[in-house]
Amino acid sequence: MRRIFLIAVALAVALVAVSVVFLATRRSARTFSPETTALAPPMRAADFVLESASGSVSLQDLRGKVLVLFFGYTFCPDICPTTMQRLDRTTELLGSDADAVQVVMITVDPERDTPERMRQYVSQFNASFVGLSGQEEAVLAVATDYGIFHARVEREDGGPYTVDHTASVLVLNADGELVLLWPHGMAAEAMAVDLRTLMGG
Amino acid sequence: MAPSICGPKLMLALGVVAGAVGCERSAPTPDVAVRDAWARAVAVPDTASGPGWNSAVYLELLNEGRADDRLVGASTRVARSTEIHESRVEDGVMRMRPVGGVAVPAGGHVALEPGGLHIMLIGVTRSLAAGDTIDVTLTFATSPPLRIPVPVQQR
Amino acid sequence: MKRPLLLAAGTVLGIVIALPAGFALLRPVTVLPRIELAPGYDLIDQTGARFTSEDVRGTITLYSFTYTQCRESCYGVLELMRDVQAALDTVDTRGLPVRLVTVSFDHRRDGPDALTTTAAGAGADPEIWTFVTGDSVRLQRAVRDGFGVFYEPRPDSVFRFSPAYVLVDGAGIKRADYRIGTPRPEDLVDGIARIAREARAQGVLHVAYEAAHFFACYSE
Repeated sequence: MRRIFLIAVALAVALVAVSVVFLATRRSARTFSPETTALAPPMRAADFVLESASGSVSLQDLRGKVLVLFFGYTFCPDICPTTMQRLDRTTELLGSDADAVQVVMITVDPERDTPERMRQYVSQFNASFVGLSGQEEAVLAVATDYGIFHARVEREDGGPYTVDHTASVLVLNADGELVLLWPHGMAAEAMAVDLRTLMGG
Repeated sequence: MAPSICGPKLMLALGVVAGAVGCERSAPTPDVAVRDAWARAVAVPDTASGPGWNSAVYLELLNEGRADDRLVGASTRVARSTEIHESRVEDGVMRMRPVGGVAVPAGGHVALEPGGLHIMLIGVTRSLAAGDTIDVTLTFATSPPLRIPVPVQQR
Repeated sequence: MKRPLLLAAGTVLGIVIALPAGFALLRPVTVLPRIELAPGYDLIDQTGARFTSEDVRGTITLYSFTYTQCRESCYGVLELMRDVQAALDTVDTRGLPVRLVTVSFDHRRDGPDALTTTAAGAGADPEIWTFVTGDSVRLQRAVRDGFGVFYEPRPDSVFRFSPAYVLVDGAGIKRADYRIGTPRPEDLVDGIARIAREARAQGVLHVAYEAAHFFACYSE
């Protein structure tokens, strides 16, 4: 009788332990913002070689920090700056933890966005941000690999073209593996919370 | 037939005439005002070459008049050209397209705000820093052009 | 006095250690692995309209690869896709839309007309099954580099290719890649159902699925 009681208690404790273990140790989507897609274990991400204003940059070179990858183009005066402002605000919210985060903007418009232009653009928002461009072929490769659709849209009136592109933001861990996918429009606060969770804060 | 219905008919006729005369004196007109205008700060490097740098003007248009109107264009001396654009994120894709104009219905208001309608400044000729003010002239389908000061903001 | 407390602590500790191990060993829940991101692409469908990776975001998508002029060594790609399409009625996808996409790597000959004819011949429901192709550079990027599918035109306009079927979830992540032998339609449908179940899981079940990913409890 006593034995059965003990077993019952043990089972109850086990159930509680299951929940506690999974909730506490697993980085389940639950601990991230509801709109975030969290990947545990991290997912492999393709390497790339692009150009910054100060030379070639590969994914390997960027390892060691949490990478926040954003695709856009400098011609766009509305949504891209809004996202950049939000990312700047995110790093501000992170305080000293921001040192472990690197925001990288990759152009989807390599024809107009030279590496130097990318540097000038991102530094308007935050001096630590990195802007990358490259040959059309290299940009197409990285966008394809990161699931970023982009297409140049010509205008009938001959005005300057625009570029339609996937608006999501990708987060890679310090080992260069994909860990989070953020849809467009995440608030800076939510991104900061996600990054803190990711960095074990 | 019956003279008794003459009265109302006459009244109606008089009313219509009075209305028509009234209309002629003051046709319903739009009356457009601007609220909360701001321009996005942009740094134009000294060494700038190539496609130039762009910015955007946001504002709210209110039409307190009795006729619809339409914002059809804008101009400013600080940009090579100016167009009305609409940005949208649709099914996860960021898009931006020029639009012919923005309807400002009678008694209504319309907001040009980040992530939506905006006046795109193409080829900004100098850096626009927070605290600056630029002059922008808005042109409408009906109302006379409106020249407004627009503060530059970093946000 | 201290013994029961010690015993309890020991039990909890034992459970904390044993449970994850038990989960990993007993595999109460299995999942399809998250392999990598599916490529972002910009192609053209059989109506001549732009078809992009964003058009299928939020849906479970099965990709296959062939060309319409294929007469031999075609691996029954279209037949298999047709069988999967037919079997979709029998599977509960929890309300999640399912799309089938067949990519032609013969962009020179497979214009909208050829794709439309082939789609009709295969019995493709245009709401579900789309045929696409695109310019050669983007096609190569998406098919060869993105989906890792080998294809090569020979001088006689016959393509050598290795058949592949790739399942992508609503977040744009490759979840299954069938390329050894010819999968059975029920395998592909089962994969679709698994992705749907996981996508719809909530609460404890959701945690269990995440744990299955963590402990690499992969089905098959």
